[in-house]
Amino acid sequence: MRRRPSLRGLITHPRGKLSPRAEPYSPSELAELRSQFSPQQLSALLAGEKAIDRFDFEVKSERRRGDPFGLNYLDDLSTIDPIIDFPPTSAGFGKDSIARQNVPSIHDPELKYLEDDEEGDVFRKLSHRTGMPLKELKKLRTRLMISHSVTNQTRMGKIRKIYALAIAGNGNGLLGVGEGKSAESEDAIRQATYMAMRNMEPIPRYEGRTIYGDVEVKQGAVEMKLFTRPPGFGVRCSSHIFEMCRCLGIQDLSARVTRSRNPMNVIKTFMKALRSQKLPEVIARGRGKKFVDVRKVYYGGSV
Amino acid sequence: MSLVNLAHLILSIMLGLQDQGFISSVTRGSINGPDKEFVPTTQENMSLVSKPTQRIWMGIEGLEEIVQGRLHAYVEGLQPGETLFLGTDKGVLEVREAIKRKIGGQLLCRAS
Repeated sequence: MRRRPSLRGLITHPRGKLSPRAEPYSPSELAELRSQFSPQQLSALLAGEKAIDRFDFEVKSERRRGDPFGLNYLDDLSTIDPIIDFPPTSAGFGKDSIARQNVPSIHDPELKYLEDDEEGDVFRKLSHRTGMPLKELKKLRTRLMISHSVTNQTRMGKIRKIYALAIAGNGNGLLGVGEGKSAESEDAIRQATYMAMRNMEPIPRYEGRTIYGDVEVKQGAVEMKLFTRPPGFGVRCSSHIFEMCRCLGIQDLSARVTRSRNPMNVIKTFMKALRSQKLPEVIARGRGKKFVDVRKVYYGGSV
Repeated sequence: MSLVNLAHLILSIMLGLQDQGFISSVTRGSINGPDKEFVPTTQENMSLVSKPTQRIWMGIEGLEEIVQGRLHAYVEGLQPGETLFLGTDKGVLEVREAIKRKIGGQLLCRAS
């Protein structure tokens, strides 16, 4: 029996990795700071810097060092380099950064774009019901998640229908789930998409990228645990939950689905889990306490 | 009127005494007097940490990890809005109070 080699030499103590202690401000640096800040601001800044533990700041935000998409060189990203960077446009650095050929538009008053009547009617009804303009409805991200046939056995024989489940979201806090059933798959999918857009509801997100705290929920036979994750983590979840996060606008999440993994029920349970988040404002109001986002206030969102 | 601790055993004895006519009424209350409105106790949002089968004590380093939401020594980290109570030499303290005073103790229960 060979003894396994000891790992003690390989694992270094995390506290040993701290950078050398920063020198206190020199008198000239202090004078410069005094010229920029008021005495109260300066005393607050110095007290804040003294209060933050170096271990917390350097080691616990360790993941920043292994950032795969981070630049390998120091760069001042606040200034625009004339050679390397895309030139800014009036619209910003969006899609206009890529040179596009100017396609002339047709200014014919008699030219009308014909729309499929059924779809148009449905969209108009939806716009009236939800209060969202047609343009916004068309921009919604919809996805067909599940589609399979279901059979009802009667004395006449088997009645076969198609069941569809779709989700709709605006990528910025709205998400809805809809189901449709019909003899034709087209109709079922359309119904499901329509219901999904109709059932859209706002879902609270922490910093617009993840959920508030860890959530554990059980619905039917599906037991689901959702974990809030730091920025840049990504959505590391199963495919259905991933798609829903894309439509909703969640960028950092972890999920664990134990017990049943039936796709239809997982989708419904995920919606329930998102709804059952405990918001800090509600907790604070209920307990009569003041709440502070330590991450934002003390660490400036860097931990 | 007199006070007794609230425990299942004691409560059932008191109800028995009431049945037999020794006591006229049994109500829940506090040291200040009986409760005016009935407030039911709930254990839905509370759970034990240190159990009779496995007692858990923790020092200041571990408590700091827990308060920041990290798992430490098989004790889950605190979620936003969750609290943890520990029994210390200075009495029962909330975890953040104990960290301020730099003392550890037995982790009694958590509430959310």
